[in-house]
Amino acid sequence: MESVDNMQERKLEELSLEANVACPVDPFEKMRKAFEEFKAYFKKEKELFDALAQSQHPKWMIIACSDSRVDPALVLGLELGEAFILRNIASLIPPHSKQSGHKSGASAIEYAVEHLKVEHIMIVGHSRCGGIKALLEMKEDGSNRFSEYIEDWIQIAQPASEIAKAKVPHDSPFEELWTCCVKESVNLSLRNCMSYPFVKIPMEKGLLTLHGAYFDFVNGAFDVWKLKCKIDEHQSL
Amino acid sequence: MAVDNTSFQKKTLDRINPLFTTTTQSCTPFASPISAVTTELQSSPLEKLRNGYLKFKENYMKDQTLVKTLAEGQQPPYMIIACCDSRVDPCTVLNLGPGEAFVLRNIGNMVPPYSSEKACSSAASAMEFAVLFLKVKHLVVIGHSQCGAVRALMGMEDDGSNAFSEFIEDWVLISKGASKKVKDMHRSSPFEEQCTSCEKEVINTSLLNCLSYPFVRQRMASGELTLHGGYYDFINNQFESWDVDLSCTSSLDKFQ
Repeated sequence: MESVDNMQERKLEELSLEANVACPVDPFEKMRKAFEEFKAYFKKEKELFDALAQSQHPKWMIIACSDSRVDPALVLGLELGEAFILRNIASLIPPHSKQSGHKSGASAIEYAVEHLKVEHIMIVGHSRCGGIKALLEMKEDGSNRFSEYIEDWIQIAQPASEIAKAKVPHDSPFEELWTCCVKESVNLSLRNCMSYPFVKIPMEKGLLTLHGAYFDFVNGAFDVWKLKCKIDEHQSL
Repeated sequence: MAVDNTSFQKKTLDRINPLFTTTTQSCTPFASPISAVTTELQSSPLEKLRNGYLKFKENYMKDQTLVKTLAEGQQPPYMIIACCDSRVDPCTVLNLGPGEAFVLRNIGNMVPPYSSEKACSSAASAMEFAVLFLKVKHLVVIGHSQCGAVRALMGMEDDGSNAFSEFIEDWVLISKGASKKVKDMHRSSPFEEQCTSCEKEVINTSLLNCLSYPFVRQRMASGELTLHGGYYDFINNQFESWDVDLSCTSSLDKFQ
């Protein structure tokens, strides 16, 4: 027969387990459980992971927004090893510049193209992008500035904002301007990618293709398009 | 190793295409199926993504409550800073679903220190947005084994004589303190072991650099934000995590 002490201890342990499950205190508890499941998958796909342990050979580089709703691996069902992924606010790539400064985008693209020899770069914009909304709402005189870094970053896409405002009729709903500006920002970043010689040269040789994409998680749509750059045959005047 | 699809496709196309020309195309009974196969092979880079997306969409659209909630906005509890490496997608490894983690990815999961000079910084802007506007509760920096960026950092000569890139070295030098520390402490260790130690030191350097931002320190001090490090070792299939503690000791002495 269980002693009273043992019984009380067992009850306390049961209660604390229940409490932990109901109100987890450890922020990593969920991730720990997820990793246990992942480990099982890892063991099952031993051949794949043994190969990945040696090196990576992704065919894709994907540039996506940091937004929690648009993880490209989730959205496109990518397996580990398939895509080298850069993420920042509004999936922006600044143009090539010799100015000093930390170049997270340029260094990632240089690594992907020159060292990993990716064959495709895809830049993905998305619906309801907070970064692009902030860009559209910025006043020219800076009177409604709200951040230390965000506006300086999002200003990379300023030319896209001008194109979108010229394209979309003034009396259209804001959503239309917002969507147009996201797509123009993707196009701008694609053109900025081309300003890097290590992108332009393989593109011209047909070894690298640039793609734009727009993920609309409101209506459940994913559009893709290619950036084409063709230099026509010379003609004598 | 999983089949290297592109070279297999190229080899297949190289062998099939010469088999029919415009003159023989209408004659051979095999032209149509071969043509269909080659078209399929040629378009497969996007086909695979399309299939992946359709599967995601099918599952995602089933949960209309989640779809409607996320259409209005995001409230992720986590911000994750991870490497671009194709083998370490944090949402895949840690099973994080849409809306759960705001993710910054760059080579080497590096964070430059706070600077009052106006600089166009992807890391600073992402952290500012996540911490002050999304009000994430946890900021996690995740590094990993076999990191090419760390290897590049460790391989750099002090005099820059073996520089190989336009941008990569300038970027990884953010964490030069980590490589110096590892080289001093593990002078006689093999290069591979030094790289593994450096991968972990880089995570800590990034965490300390996160702390150099006033808005990060303020939210930590008020108990609204915690910082964590994570190391994903895909060779041994392990994941370590640790916390960053910012606490003050109780009064040590009274100067009288």
